[in-house]
Amino acid sequence: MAAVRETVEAARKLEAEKYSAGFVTDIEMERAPVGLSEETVRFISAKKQEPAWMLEWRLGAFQRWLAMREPNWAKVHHPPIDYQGATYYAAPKNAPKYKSIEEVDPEILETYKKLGIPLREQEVLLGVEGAPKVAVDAVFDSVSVVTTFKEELAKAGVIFCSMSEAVREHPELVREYLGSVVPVTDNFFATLNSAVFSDGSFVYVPPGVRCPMELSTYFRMNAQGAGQFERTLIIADKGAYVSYLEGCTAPMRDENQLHAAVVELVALDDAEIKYSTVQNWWPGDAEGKGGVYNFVTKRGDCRGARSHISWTQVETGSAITWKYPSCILRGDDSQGEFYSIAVTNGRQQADTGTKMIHLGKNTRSRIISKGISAGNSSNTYRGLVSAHAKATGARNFTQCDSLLIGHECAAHTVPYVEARNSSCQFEHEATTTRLSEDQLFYLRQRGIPEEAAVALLVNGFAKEVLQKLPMEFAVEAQKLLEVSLEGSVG
Amino acid sequence: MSLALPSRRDEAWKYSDLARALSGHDLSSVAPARGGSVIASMARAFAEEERVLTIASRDGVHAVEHSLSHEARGAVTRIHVPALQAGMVVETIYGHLNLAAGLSEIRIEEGGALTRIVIQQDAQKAVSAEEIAQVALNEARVSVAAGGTFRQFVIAEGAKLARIETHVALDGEGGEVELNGVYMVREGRHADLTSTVTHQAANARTKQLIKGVARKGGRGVFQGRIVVPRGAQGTDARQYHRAILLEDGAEIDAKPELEIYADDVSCAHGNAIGALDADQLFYARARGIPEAEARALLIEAFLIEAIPEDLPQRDDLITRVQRWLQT
Repeated sequence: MAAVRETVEAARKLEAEKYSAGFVTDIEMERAPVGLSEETVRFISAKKQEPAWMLEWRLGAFQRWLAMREPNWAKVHHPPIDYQGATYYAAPKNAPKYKSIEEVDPEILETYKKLGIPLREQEVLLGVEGAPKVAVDAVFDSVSVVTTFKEELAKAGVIFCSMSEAVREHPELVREYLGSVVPVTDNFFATLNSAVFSDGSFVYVPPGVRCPMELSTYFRMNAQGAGQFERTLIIADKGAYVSYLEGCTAPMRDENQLHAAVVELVALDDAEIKYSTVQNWWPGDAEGKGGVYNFVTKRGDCRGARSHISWTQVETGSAITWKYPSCILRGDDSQGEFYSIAVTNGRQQADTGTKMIHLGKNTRSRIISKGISAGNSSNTYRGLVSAHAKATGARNFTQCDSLLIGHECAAHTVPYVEARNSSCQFEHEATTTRLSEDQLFYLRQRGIPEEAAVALLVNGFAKEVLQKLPMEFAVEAQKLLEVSLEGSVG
Repeated sequence: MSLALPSRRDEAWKYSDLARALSGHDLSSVAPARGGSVIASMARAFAEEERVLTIASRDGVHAVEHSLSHEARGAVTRIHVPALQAGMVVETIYGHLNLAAGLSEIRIEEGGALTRIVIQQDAQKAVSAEEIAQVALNEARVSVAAGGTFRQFVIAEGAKLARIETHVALDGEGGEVELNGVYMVREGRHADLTSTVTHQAANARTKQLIKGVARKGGRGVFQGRIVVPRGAQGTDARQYHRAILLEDGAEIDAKPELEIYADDVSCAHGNAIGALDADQLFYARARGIPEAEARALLIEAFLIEAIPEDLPQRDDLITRVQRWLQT
């Protein structure tokens, strides 16, 4: 079919300039010496002016990490990572906390502007009464540059700050919850993160509080050779509600950048956490050169009864994605949800999915995954649904659909289902098809250009998930889908 | 060099820990067969001779039925289906051996057809967990040439560890595969149906329906993988696994896998694990059928859906399901 042949040819033409976030900000950096040793860990901890218990925690993780081996079960291939060749800490020089947005280095602000990040949303929103507000904790490489809307959040009793600040200001909360969802020894990358994590966001929503605005973080990797190891911890106390948006984008680099983040969510009784991600890191060029290695551990713990955690992700970037946002449904009647769109193009590889661990009674979970592979890419859904012997009445529904665009791409579905309770009800459905020629023909016949027709069909395919995104993200995500598949179709 | 036994840490044996099931067995005499699996290595080491079977259709039309029983510790059988010939093989794996390993190497030539029925029997007398000592392993490697058909039906009652592996390569265009099965496991039994179908050629079809039930203390495992390499356009593959946990304390693990490298394909898989439908039970009870009877009826109907309608042994297989339900 001509369209498919054109697709493949066009995919080859996919060039670096298509990636609108691919630029480098030239500012002075303060960085740790290259390599990873106990000294590096001490250096990071000292830079962050951390208390002794935090340093001990990091050193313990580092010792464990030395004895661990990199996992190899995912369907991804990459040259061995040189952990001693990377820099584990990079901060913009002169990194005192800014008191107001005006103090921020203009070049940094310019970077965010190019990305279209609403750091100055205050001005934008001024005069728009009742408009939804978004608080941003912007991470520029390793240091949280500025946190906005802090005061308004403080009025509601919500703590939203950088992880380093939380370690200093709220040690009791950090000590209680840090590592309680993703233990230090959880997996190779999480342990590495525990030793060298640089910064990230910390959120605490007190009992009964509905967070007055959507919280948002944009992560951005900038320094050459500097991996980003952020650590996010979100706690929704009893009856609290919070919606958190995470957006990621990194500038173009030739060398592969390692990203090993850890995100922990804790929902106590009746609490609800919505966590949405749009990931648009540099995927490497058409030949697979460069790009971000995204090895992330994300897990939510529905610790309390009737708690609810929902993950929504749109993954379009990274050379390699290795990510399984999961829910531990510990509390009775708790609920977990996972909505995902993963797009791979060029030579991208994605191995992503979720785990729903049913431990409590009458726990429910729902998984909707839409994988779209184009070009020479490989896209794997890997998920686990399990019910403990005591998880009576556990329910799960899983739907994974894969869409193939072009002859050279691959789509895999690997669900694991483990049932140990006779009253559980687990259902899994999966389909793999290519873009329907009939539908394409129908649209073309009505004068819709091929590229627009494909975008329309892909958006339709992913609609169920797109609808789950908060409004702020939904528009952006739809645009991102189109941009990601640009050149791969028609 | 002696054989390394796979354990839970090996992805392919994640749910069936062979090393644990065979701890205490002396396997020092088993040499790993070159390029072969663990089961193949054991079957070759234990088998006294290799059986060779060539299928020829009676009158050139009717399939001839062959019976193969696995009464010895090891059995290696080569089955050859020449072009345009059709046949049937019934393999019975008895439950009286401590360790039995069978290997069947099947070659189906152009336009040939083979129906294979595998009956894995429970040890008759074993009542307590200690008495169920046997490990029953079986592996079939099947190649199907253009226009060939391979149909299989497995009925497994489980053992301390029973694993029936089937690996099919669809080497020629337009091949067809049907891999159905039923497993029924009671206390102390473990039945594992593992399969791979690789669509090496274009326009081939795979259909798979596996149904299973587990009682308290029983464990059922289904691992099915369908691989569609680049170039296998026009592939149509459907894979379904449905299982019921009859009582608390039962366990069912499933890993249906689709691995697809071609775009002009239609592949789907479904997996459902749950309890007996309460509405159906109520319906039967409302019509005066006693609960135990209603349950047996529903479970029977659920299981026998996987037994192909046109299988000559269908009635015998249904009887086997009924017998299991009665004990």
